[in-house]
Amino acid sequence: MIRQKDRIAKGAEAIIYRGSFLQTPIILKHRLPKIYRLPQIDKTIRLQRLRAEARIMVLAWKIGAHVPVLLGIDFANRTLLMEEIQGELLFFIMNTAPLTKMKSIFKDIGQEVGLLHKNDITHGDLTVFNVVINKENKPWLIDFGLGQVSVEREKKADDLLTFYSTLKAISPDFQDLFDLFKHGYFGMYKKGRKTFEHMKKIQSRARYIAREDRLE
Amino acid sequence: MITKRGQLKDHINFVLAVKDRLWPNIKIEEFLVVYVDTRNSPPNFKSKFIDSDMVTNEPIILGFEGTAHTAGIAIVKGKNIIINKSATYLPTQGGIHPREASEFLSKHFPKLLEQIFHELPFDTQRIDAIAFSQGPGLGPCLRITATIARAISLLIKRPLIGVNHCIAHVELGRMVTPAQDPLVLYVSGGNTQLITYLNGRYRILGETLDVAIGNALDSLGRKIGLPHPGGVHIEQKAKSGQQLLHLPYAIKGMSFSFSGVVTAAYKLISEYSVSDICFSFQEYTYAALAEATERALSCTKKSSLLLTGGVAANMRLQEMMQGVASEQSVKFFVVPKDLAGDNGAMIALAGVNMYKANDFIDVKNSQVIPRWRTDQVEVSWIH
Repeated sequence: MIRQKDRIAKGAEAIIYRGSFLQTPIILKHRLPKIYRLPQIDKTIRLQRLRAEARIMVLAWKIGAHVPVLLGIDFANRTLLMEEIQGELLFFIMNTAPLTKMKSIFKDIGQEVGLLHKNDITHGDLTVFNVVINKENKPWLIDFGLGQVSVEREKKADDLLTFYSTLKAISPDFQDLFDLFKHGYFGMYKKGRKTFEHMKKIQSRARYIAREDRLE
Repeated sequence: MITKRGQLKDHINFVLAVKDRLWPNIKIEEFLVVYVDTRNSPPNFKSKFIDSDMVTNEPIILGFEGTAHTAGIAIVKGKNIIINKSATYLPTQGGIHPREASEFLSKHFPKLLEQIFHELPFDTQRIDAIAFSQGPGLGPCLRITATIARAISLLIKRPLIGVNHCIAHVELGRMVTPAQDPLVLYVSGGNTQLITYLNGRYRILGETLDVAIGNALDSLGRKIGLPHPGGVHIEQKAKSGQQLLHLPYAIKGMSFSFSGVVTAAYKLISEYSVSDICFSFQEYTYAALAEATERALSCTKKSSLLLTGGVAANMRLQEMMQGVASEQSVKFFVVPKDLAGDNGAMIALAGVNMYKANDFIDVKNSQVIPRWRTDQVEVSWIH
């Protein structure tokens, strides 16, 4: 039973409702149809994302990553039921929390992502909006709709690049924070350095990068 | 920058050709030092300009646009576009050839300048500065534009303003629509970027990972036998499309890619009709753009969305963006159709803002920057 007053957030893709399941607080993530897309395209995309998210969440939970536990899937309504993480989105605390606190958080995020990549799981949309910081200041990753199980270095490097570019667009201290993220990441994932090199390669593919700055 | 002797010679010949056409009575030796009285050719008061506009303190800027296929010159005062003229190069076959495009520009700039100075309702000495597209774009075209801008700057002794072409599209949108601090989707033949302003720079949140959307439309149009420019003809054909064919939906975070979609669409040509292919191509690529835009809107929490660039004239894209804006309950603005493509007015309008911030460059340092990223420009005019 979903009530409008339990609606807590509206993202680009889905509406998030709060609820309870066997006395534990849960989150319902309902992927909405988009009026601007053709219904045929919309239907396939929403189903694909729902399936991907459910699969990745289960796999990530099995390896012990900090992700919400998946409790149920409602295919007909394109809705996922999952455990609620009590905390704040990284984006909202980034500019208010003291820098020292942020530093340890970013190192932990690096470890989390390293753990996923070590097990060939990619997030697909790793931004500061998809990281929840709980009361013990530990990061939890959410929103795996674009996630994939893949051994490709390209996909892993994509995660790093997405994270780097959203960080760059949001925080003035992005360089320091990303260095800490890298530190945690390399610590957890030994092949991480190669992924990082690959990230720079992808970065140099963007438009209007001077020839001398291109890495090939 | 001029590095080879041959190039220098070309430049000199070009400047002299401009001079001969506009001011044939001046001797070459005096060309760069004399004050030229253009009142010899009586002005023609055909334009909509009203003399009372002159009372305000807004600067008068002469803008030159020439990054690829359009030669555009405009004169603006503040937000008022006084004269805006352009000529567009249409390749007879294939895409834009850089050399032919630059030849086109060198042929048309003098003609346009002549028209502008004939129609100019006031003296050339009232122009406050010269703005030109310094980059990004095709090197040969940029050099032609820069050369003529430098020549005019030295001739009427007014400072030069080097404008980034992508930022000019954004500035145009900010000045001709009521959008304030918007998220910008800039879609054109050369670029496809999601741009937002933060801490003194325009940041790119997402961009195309291979070809621009307009480029993809053009090359698909060419492959399936439609004339140039592809976007317009594809839009027409798509109206009669019925069947949705399966194509890739390429989105990576907030970035998108189109070259694979072109190939996939082209492979369907033997089995399906052109209008079905055009319809499906538009639906898939614009849906990817719309989704990335919606993501960016929900990330940045901006209160308005601005659509600008040549492909902004496409009605289906406008409709989708309108949908995105209403999903995220933000205001939606789109630049007028006649200013959507490349034009001189956008360079001049960006020039107005840069003039107010005293953002000038010396002729010495005015070399073109063919690979000038939007996020490399220090935005001096927004506080």
